[in-house]
Amino acid sequence: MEEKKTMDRRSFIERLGGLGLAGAAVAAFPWVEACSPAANKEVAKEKARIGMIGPGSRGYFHLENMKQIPQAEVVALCDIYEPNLQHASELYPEAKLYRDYRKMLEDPNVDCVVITTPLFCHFQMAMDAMDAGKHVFCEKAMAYNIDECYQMYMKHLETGKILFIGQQRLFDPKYLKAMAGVLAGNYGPVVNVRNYWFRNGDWRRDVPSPELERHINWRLYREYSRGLMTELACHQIQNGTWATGMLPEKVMGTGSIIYWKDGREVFDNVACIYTFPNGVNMTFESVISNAHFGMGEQILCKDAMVDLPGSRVYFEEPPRKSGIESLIAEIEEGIFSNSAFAGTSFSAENGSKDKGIAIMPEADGDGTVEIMEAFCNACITGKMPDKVLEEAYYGSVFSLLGDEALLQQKTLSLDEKYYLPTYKGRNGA
Amino acid sequence: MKDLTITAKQIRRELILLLVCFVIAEGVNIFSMIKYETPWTEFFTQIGFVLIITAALYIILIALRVLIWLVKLIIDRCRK
Repeated sequence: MEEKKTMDRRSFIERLGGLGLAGAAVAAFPWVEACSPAANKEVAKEKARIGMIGPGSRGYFHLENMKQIPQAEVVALCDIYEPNLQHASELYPEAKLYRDYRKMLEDPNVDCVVITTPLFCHFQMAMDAMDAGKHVFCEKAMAYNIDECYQMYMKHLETGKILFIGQQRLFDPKYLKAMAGVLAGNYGPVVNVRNYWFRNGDWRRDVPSPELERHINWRLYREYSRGLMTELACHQIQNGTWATGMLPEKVMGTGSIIYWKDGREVFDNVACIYTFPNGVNMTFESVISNAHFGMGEQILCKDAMVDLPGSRVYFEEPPRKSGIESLIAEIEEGIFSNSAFAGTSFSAENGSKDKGIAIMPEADGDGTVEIMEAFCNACITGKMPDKVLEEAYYGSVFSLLGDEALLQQKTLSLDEKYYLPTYKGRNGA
Repeated sequence: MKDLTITAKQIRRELILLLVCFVIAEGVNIFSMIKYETPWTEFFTQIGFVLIITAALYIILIALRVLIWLVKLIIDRCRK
């Protein structure tokens, strides 16, 4: 079973190729080459020696995934929270343990670091790591504020060190295949991007003693986190810039604490609207006191709606039924539909009941392993994959701008100075 | 127990009725092909639907005949 999974993961570019998308996919998503079979062959028998900073829940998940990546070698682990450090060392007993990341950065056996710490730590740790000559994989969101994101990007340019941000959707075969169709115009022009993330839970973790509350539940406090916008939105905002090839011109939104009034400082519900230069809107909505709708990322094109996580496309005009099926459906509708009792001034515009067409039913995983594999390969070769950081940068930056709009209750635009000199969107926005 | 005898005439009648149901069902198929302007190949490709409709019509026919037989039986008993 494990062998099959690995084979599927390793051959995902071939699978795109089998669907007639290899060339187009590589042109539209140049970064996928970093984990292609050719790239893996180039680094065969070489190792990226990894030091992990913050092997908590997400970090531990990466550590488990690294077991599947032949070119990943975990040589050091660092955490200030002893239970997490010990738990991780059980997985990698040979790894050297550190309690201070600066000490770990002095270790010459460490080639690269994976930063999976709370958001407020990302910037300093990444900057210090690049200054120490280490390549960096930093979990999303990139940093606590827009200026820090920009400085991290410039530090990457200045030092030439590899910098990856954990936007794994950029490596998810389902998303790549769906986006290839969107970017090729197969579904007509993009007219709207709709993102939502609904959960029903307080987002809290168990705290062994009260003084650890802010340390463990850092996501709930403004000093350490930007809440739903950095923890959830940044994945989805990045989908919008990716699908449209543009960067939003402005963002407005609102947020509040409506249910979890437990001392937290970040919003428990938010709604944001981003507008692209061509007038297309992208929404992000999140509520953590009702999970009915779950998570959704939908690209609405003129001729079809693309459901990214569901990997399905719903055409506005579904494929024609046979004559006899149409007749049966019409008779059924005549029997079961509600009859109008007050003329035809109003009829409910129900959503389509079309079951859609699967885009990539055979895809597995969510790109987390592939992005780490690409990072390891890039660390070994020293070659930064094209555009992967830029896509991630704007995902983080526009999520942070969204949070600013929520806080200031204003419509905001990104300051011109934060547009990257190297990339201003595929349409040069 | 009494033996049931199905005569050749009865079998022929049932087969004719089944054929009539099939012709009606195929007629419905042709009508829907014309109405919805779908390809003529559906005459063959939609045979599954046609057979289902044939079976449904035949079952309805049996139900009607049983009903008529019951009504006749009741009337006859009342007369006696």
